[in-house]
Amino acid sequence: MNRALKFRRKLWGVGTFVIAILAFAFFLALRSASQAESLFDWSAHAEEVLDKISQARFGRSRLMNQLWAYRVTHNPELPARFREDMDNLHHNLDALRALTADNPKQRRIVEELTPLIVEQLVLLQAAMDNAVAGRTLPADSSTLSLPFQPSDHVRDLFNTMERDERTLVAQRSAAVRVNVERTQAVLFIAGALTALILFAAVYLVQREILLRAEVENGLRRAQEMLGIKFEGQRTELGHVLEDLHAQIRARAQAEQEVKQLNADLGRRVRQRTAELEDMNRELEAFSYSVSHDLRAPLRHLDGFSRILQQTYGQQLPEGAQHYLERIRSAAKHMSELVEDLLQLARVGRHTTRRESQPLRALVDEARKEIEPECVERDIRWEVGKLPDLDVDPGLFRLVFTNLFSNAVKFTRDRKPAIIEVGCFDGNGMSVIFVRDNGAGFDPHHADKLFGVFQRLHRQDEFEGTGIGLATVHRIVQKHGGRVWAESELNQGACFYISVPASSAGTPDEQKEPIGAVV
Amino acid sequence: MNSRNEDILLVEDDPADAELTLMAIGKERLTASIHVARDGAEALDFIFCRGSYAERKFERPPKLILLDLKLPKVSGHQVLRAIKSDPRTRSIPVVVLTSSDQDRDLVECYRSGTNSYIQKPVDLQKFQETVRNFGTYWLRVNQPPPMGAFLEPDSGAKP
Repeated sequence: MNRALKFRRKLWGVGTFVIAILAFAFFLALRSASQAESLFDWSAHAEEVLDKISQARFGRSRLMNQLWAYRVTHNPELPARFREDMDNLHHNLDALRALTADNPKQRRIVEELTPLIVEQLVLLQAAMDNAVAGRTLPADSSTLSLPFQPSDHVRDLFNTMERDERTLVAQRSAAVRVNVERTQAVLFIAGALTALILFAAVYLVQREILLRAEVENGLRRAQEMLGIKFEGQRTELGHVLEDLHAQIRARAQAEQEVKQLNADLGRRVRQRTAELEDMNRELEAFSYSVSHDLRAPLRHLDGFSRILQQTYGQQLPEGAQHYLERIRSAAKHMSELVEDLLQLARVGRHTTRRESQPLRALVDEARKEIEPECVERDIRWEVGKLPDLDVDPGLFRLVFTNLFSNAVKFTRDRKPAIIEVGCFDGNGMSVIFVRDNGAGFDPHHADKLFGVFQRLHRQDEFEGTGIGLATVHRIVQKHGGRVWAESELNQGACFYISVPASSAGTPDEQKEPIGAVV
Repeated sequence: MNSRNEDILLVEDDPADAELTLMAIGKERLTASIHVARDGAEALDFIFCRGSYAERKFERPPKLILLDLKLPKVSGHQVLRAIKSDPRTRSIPVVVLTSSDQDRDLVECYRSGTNSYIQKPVDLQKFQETVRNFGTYWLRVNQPPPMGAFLEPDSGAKP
């Protein structure tokens, strides 16, 4: 771009220079031509002057000859011709005077010459007139010839004039020649210069063209290379795009599949939820039915056997009384089983409500609840310092009721029975323990301790339903904690409950199977 | 006293339960004036003096209704709602006497406006005590509203 501009400027410069030289040459040629023209004019003028001079010279001679002829012949035509020539000569002289008006030297000669000639012409006229009149002239021939003979002076004057004029013509011719030569030289130089400059310009242009061609070549090559590269990259890009499309398709398909799976999952979850809801409803109906219908016959068993005993007791033999007692105790046991099962079912359905509870209050309430079981018993309660915990108050009271009830039951033979309640921290959990000095249990069977209907004592040793600890287990599990027990036969037992110290624990979480730790 | 206007209406479908209850009431000598309805429909006929009880008078309602929940035809809950939503019968004391200790029964009964809810104890002795307690209270301690106080058409506005 910059280079092209420079080149254009250079070309313009050369062009302008050439035009200037040509203009100068043209100007010189024009001037030379106009000079030559004026010189030619001058030459013509000089020729005319010479012509007039010679006419003037011969005109006078003719007049003299006509006079002599008339004198001899008396030809009547001659005087008229004489007069005509005389007039012509006069005119000639006038013309010569006018022609030499610009040349002072010639002019002076003409001024000097004219009166001399006119004087002779007057004499000639007179002579002619006399001849025509028939007057005889004196025979003096000298008189006759004298005025007609051209004086030396006149002859000299004419000669001078002629000579001067010829010199002038020669001079002017030389000037014309010089002029022409100079013009030729100027034209030659201008031509040579122009040619030189044009050569230079052509060289420059050629070089430029070559340069441009080279650049163009380079550009074309570069373009070709770029084209090849571009083609390569385009192909590569095409592959990449194809890959991308494939990936997008794959992803879309995967998304579709995920959607499908989600939909399936959603449907299955809904189906399963519906099934679970159905099952829950059935379970609820079952426990409702148990609650209503199973108790009534038990009540009747107990009621009527008692009435029988009360009303007809004295009439019955001792064996009959014993069997009545058996019937009543079976009804009572069955009633307890129903109660405990309903309680366990209720715990399962119950949604845990977590709030900060002073454990001490729950322990006290539980103790009050089992007071009827402690009648006529020597029990020493040792309740340590208990913290506040995030637990469901109703469910946790049930935990303590069950544990205390067990402790009271299994310390039946101890005097005094010692029941210890306490709490310590371990691994971010609060561990609550209930220890007694009662019958304890065989640690070999500890894994059965928290299962439903599982008992480690015979009914005639310690009555029970085998549901209480299962209920405890269920409640603690719902609080994200675990329960275990330590014991030796006849060495007392200790039950541990761990619950998250804060409310961070996850309720209803399935923990490892709970067993006793010895 | 009109023999058709008893002190106690016992609504109970189970004859054994009915017998035990009657025996307990009799033993406490609370009243001899007891009518037993065997299902919810009969109970409603009795209370609203219609059907086979059309000759009964609203002016002499029972002093106490003992109501079981699980009843044939019309359930105890429906009977309770019918009694407590009618201004003429709303003031009759109803004691729900049932085997159930299910929360939803408790909630439902108290929402309908029962005066008391008692779970029948399995132990006869405890049952006897319970009957003595609520019988004494409702029949002897509690004072019912004046006769016919809620029989006017606009009596519903009164509490």
